[in-house]
Amino acid sequence: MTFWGLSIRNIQRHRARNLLTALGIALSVLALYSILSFNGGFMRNLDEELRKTGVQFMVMPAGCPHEVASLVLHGAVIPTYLDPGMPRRVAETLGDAAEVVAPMLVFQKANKALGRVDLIHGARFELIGLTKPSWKLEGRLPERSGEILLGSEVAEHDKTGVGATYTYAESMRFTVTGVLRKTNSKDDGSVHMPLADAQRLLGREDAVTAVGVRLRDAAGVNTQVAKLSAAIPGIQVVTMGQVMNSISTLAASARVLSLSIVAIAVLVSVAGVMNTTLMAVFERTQEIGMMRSVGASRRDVFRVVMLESFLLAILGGSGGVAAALLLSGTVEDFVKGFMPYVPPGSLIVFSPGLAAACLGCAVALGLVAGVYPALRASAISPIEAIRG
Amino acid sequence: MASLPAISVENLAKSYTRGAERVHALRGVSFEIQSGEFVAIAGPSGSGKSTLLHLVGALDRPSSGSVRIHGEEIGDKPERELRGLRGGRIGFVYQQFYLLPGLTVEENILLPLLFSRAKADGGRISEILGSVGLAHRRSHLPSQLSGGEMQRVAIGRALAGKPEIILADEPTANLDSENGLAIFELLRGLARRGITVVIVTHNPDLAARADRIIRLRDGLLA
Repeated sequence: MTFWGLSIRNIQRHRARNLLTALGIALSVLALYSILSFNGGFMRNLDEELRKTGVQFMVMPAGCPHEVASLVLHGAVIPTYLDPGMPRRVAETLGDAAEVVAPMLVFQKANKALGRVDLIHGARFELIGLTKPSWKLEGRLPERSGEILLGSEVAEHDKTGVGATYTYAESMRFTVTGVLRKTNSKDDGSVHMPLADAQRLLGREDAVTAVGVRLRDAAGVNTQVAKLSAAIPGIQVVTMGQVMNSISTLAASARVLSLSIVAIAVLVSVAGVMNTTLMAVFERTQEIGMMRSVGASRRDVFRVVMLESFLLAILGGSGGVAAALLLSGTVEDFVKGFMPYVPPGSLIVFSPGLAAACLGCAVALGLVAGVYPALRASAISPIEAIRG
Repeated sequence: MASLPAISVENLAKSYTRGAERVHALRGVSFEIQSGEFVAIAGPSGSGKSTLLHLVGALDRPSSGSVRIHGEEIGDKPERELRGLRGGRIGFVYQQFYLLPGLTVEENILLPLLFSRAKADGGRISEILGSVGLAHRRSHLPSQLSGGEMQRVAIGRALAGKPEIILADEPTANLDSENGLAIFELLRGLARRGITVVIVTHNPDLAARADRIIRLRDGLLA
């Protein structure tokens, strides 16, 4: 018999009660792991999403910076356009500092043949290799007017592929030359076509929603942004960092709320452990008195009770981490329902470090919860206990 | 040279406060018990029997007077030494057994060794189980035992630390007369093997079977 064995046997005596206590810990650890993982995944995927845009900043018509975030992340439609010739002015102002100056046009267009509205993304495909280096295709990029590239979700939804025809008007027929493999970005839900075709489809020959810019030297972003803002009035230049901050700010309140709920859940589970352990101590007063009378020191009694708290915490904590991994998809879908924007991709993923931290947190809280009952137990006088 | 008494009690007094009342449980008791004696402490409720047992067993400290175990004064010893005494030289048996329900017979018997950090010896546990007649119940849980068997386990637990003295507080009170007598005889057998056995009992028939009776009344020897 060891102290561990004694504590395990004590826990086994009230299985239902101890399992319920461990379940409480497991649920709070599940929430803690899920929320922390979700928050980490949110920022990581957001960063990845912005990186996939292939540009360091966007030149837009003056307006709300959140519109930029919407454009970049959702493919939102902004009903204002840059002045004609803006891409050329941006390129001239930046000179050799710019590696890519990529105009883009994003708008919605009714697809009467399929009875829905498509999100059209007009771009210069000769620059795609630079702005979208991670794109992988089935087929090829559009090379001439009348050719389109389908996002993976569009192709999957329409159950179509290379060679299919999309018709937006009598004179606007497009042949699919390629299907984009899944990128987990807004590109998956777009129909991509040459900028000139997109402008013609929109009915505005010179329309550009934004100009994406990638510099040869990423460290020079602030300098070049200042230079552009000073040189060209009526525009706003928004860096991807600013977009990230903007989204982070929007999501911050949801994050604080969720963490507050988790904190309450954790406190409730700590109270549960304390209550269960204290109840066990009160029930075993005479046994503890007997233990003292056969040679147990106050420290021995303290140790037995602390080990029981520890075991409850480690049992609940492990269960919580395991549940977090098994239920990550369900929890993620649930949490996503409350968020104003969520970047694509899995947000709750297995992280050994985070799992260990959550388990450590559960154990630490379990030990804290065990201190008071253990002190009460160690203070039991053998005489009083035996007298009953 | 004559050997020292196993237990020597001199002018032993114990008072404590219960609510607003000052209780004088023992008022100056003196006696000696020799090694291997089988002594019953008898007396009505409230006479101080259990208090006396607790003081002799180093579970409590006297208000005045002295308790010596084989000549060694224990009243002023630090708690650490008293704990060693309780887990080793003195074994306790209680009316309500106080077995841990989650532990087997063997584990309950070996419990004191956990606290004294002594190694459990397979031969020793077999010997204890044999001496209390529970060799066939080694792996059973207390819930699978009769009252008499549970008290045998408690006696086995008291024997685990190889005690010189066993103090039993009403060990037969929760048992029927047949089992009570069997436990009594078991304790007497231990005394025959040289262990000093002191039992507190209400039962005058059983007390009369002891080597000697120490009678108490109102905290004094009667």
